[in-house]
Amino acid sequence: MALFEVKNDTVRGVMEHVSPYLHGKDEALIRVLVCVFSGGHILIEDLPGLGKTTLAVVTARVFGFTFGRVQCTNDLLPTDVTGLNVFRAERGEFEFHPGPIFNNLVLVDEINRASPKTQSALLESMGEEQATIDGITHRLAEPFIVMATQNPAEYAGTFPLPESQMDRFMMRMSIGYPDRNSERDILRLGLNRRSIDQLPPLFSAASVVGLQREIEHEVTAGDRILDYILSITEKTRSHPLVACGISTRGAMVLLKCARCVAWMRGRDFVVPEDVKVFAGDVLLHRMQFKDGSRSEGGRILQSIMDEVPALK
Amino acid sequence: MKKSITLKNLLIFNTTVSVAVAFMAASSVIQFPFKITIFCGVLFALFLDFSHLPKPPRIVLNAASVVIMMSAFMRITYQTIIETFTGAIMMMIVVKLLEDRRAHDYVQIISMLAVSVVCSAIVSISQGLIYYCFLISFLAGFELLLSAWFDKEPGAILSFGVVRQLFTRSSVIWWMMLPLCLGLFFIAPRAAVVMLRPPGPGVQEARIGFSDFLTLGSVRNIQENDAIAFRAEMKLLAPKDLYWRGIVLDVFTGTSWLPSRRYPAQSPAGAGSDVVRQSIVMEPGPSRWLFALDFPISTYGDGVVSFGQGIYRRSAGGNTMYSRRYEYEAISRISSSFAPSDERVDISRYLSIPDNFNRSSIQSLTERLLSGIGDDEKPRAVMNYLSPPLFEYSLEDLPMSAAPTEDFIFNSRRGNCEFFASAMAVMLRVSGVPARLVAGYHGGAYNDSGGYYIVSQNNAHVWVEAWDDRSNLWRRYDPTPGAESGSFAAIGVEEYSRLSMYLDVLNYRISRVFMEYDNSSQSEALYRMREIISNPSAAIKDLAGNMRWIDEYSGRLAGLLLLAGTTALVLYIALRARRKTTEEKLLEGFHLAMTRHGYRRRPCEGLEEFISAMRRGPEPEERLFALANDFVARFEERYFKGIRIAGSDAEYLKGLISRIRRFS
Repeated sequence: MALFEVKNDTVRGVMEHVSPYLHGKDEALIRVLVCVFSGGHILIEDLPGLGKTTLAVVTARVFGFTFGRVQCTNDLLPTDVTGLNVFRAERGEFEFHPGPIFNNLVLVDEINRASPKTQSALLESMGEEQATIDGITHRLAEPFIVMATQNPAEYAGTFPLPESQMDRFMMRMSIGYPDRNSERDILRLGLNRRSIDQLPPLFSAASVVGLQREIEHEVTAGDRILDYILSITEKTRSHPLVACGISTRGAMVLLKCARCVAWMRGRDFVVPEDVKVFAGDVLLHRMQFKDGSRSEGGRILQSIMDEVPALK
Repeated sequence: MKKSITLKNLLIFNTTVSVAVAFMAASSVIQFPFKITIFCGVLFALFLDFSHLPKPPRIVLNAASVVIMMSAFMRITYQTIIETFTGAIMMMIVVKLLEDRRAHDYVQIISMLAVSVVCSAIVSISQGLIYYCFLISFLAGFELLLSAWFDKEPGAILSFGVVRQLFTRSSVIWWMMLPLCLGLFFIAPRAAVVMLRPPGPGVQEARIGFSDFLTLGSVRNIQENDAIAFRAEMKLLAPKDLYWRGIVLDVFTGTSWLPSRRYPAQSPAGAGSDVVRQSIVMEPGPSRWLFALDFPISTYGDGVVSFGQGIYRRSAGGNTMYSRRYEYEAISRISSSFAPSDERVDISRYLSIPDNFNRSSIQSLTERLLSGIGDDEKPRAVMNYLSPPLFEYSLEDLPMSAAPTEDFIFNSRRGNCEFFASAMAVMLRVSGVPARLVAGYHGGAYNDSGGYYIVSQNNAHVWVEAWDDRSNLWRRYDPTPGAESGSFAAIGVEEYSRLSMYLDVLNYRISRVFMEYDNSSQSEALYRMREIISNPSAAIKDLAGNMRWIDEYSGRLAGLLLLAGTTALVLYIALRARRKTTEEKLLEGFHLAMTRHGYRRRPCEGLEEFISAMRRGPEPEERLFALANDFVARFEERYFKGIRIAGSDAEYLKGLISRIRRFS
């Protein structure tokens, strides 16, 4: 296990349950699980055909989530995402048709192909956990998790997400190519959508919410950890190559993520390692680097992390 | 990366610094060839430490030490005991440095260094040496800490944090020791007063000195006391010139000699070339007379009153005893004769013999003795008559009758200076030569380290001054046998060994710095404080009117304030400095223990991360990992949950640390 050793029985159960369907995507799965258990959205930056959809579908199945999918194009309208009021002539009134956003897990494919208007409608509901259509506010499902994807290689005809909107996502991650053995398995067995659909759920949406609460309340993050996180954020703000450091929301999300990691590792308290594991995934897309150092972001963050003492 | 230093190098460094300090301190004491040898020896020892050459075998070095000590003992003389000793000790240190040193060797070296610094301090009393003493005592404390560690763990590597901690500890120890030493310093003089004096009401009778009149036989009482009368800081003079003039006794009553009530005031005689300036500190005692070398031109001091004839007194102030030291300056022209400057000598006063004194027998003696001799030759002739073997110097069996002078001349012929002087003066007066007695001190031991004479009570002396009518001069004659040749002046000198001279310098200097420190000044200070509290405005006015007091003490006050200030500052810093929490101590201990096995945690690494990078493998490594893992798991939980580690938890964790440290 490259990232960390999962000791929490619930999480182990999930992983054993789904690994036959996700060949060699354990790291990605763990990231997704962290986001699910801490109620965060995921931005997957990857080339097409690496199993993003499979990952989303499997996740939805195993947690018993309702699943919605939006394929973004530049003519996609906000109402295509949120839903719309349709006039019923026979009853003489409007009837609300909820869009795909009213699901527990929403896969938004190629989000950067949607027009800014649609993007912001989507991002707004991600932030507020509600959607306002024709002046009426509708609560979204609970939990509500968006998995958005974008293709890093192809920029023609896209509307890149505004930097300020990026921090709606808890993590930005990529799946990467599977290793040779996993890939061979995939080739041998083929993709069996039907069998995924028959995957029995281990959770219900309500039990996931319960687990989220449990993690939030049971896992202690002492002052030393809070100071550790604050030291990191302070360093990002004062670093000479960083134009825009981590916001307070970024720090909160990092803490949330660290709590979840600690819980998954079978502890009821957070240690610096929990913070570190996904620091890159959580922080990098929230930072803006000065011109010429954009591609060095990972290395800059690493140097910042190396400067912050884990124990005082 | 954390900076670190091996314990051994730190010890070598500290030892070298200490040697350098001691070398500087002792450089004025040890002789030149020693210096060169020691310097080269230390360099060579350092070279041996850092090269990988073999150290000389212990047996050779031990033999060398024995040879050095033996040769030192051979060369030792009474006068240079400390110089030789210090040089030998420094040589021994060099020998020690050449050895393959173990912890106890370092302790030996540092104690020898301390001894050599103290010895140098005793020999060359200079203010600077006190700093060397402070420095070496501090270094010694640090060295002791280091060598204690070295004894347990010779291969230790210390992080700079630990070094700083050790350093702070040894300075705290040093600062805690300082008040104790100062306390002893302040208590000691009082303890001496309490312990060395017999209990009883008449404590002050123990002190002795010249009173206002001289009954024959009373000087002997003074002479039998070996207490110090005064010290006079001045240049070295020939013993024959050391006549400390005190009282002129010109009224003879038959049994005693008295001073006149008052002499006509006399202006200072013109200063000649042979002028000696003395600054004199008198010990507490009953004497109101101020002594100065014959012949005093002038004397300055608090409340000095001139009585003419080179006689000075201090104002009594209502006391019959002076409980404090008294300091004054005197300028004298060294001469055995002097002119009375403005008075016409009242011949009759210096010729008077009381009516009840039976002068006929003495008259017949002097007529027989001095027939055909001129007036200016008479004193010599009388002195010759009063010399051995006919007359004998003695402090025992003194004539104690109603007419002691006649008794001395005709019967016992044994006596001390006062009898010789009295006899001579009476014989001169009877034969028509004006004469008088002068009481004071003769001789003294010169302390060349301090540059002053120590004059003790057994230097008390009485001599004669006779009027030379032809040249209008008073001439000094000392009829006591041996006095004029200077042998009498050496009384008491041989009692002072070199060492006791050094100790006296120390005592003298310290008491001059903190003079007036005794019971009376303490009670005075208390009284003053009470006054200030009860009536502040008056007291302040009084103080303001008495600015001289502040002037006088401002220097000392500033020094004390500085000392108090630094002490307070250091205490403040020491107290304010955050005490290490148990967690920090445990963490540091864990790091040290892991360092022994070659694992060093980078500050940014978490503990789990740290131990997950440990070598894993067969048995010993796995067990070490298990220990470390146990520590990390227990420590981490409390540390990051913010639970204080105490009691059995802390003990358990400490146990784990020591198991990790000893793990092999």
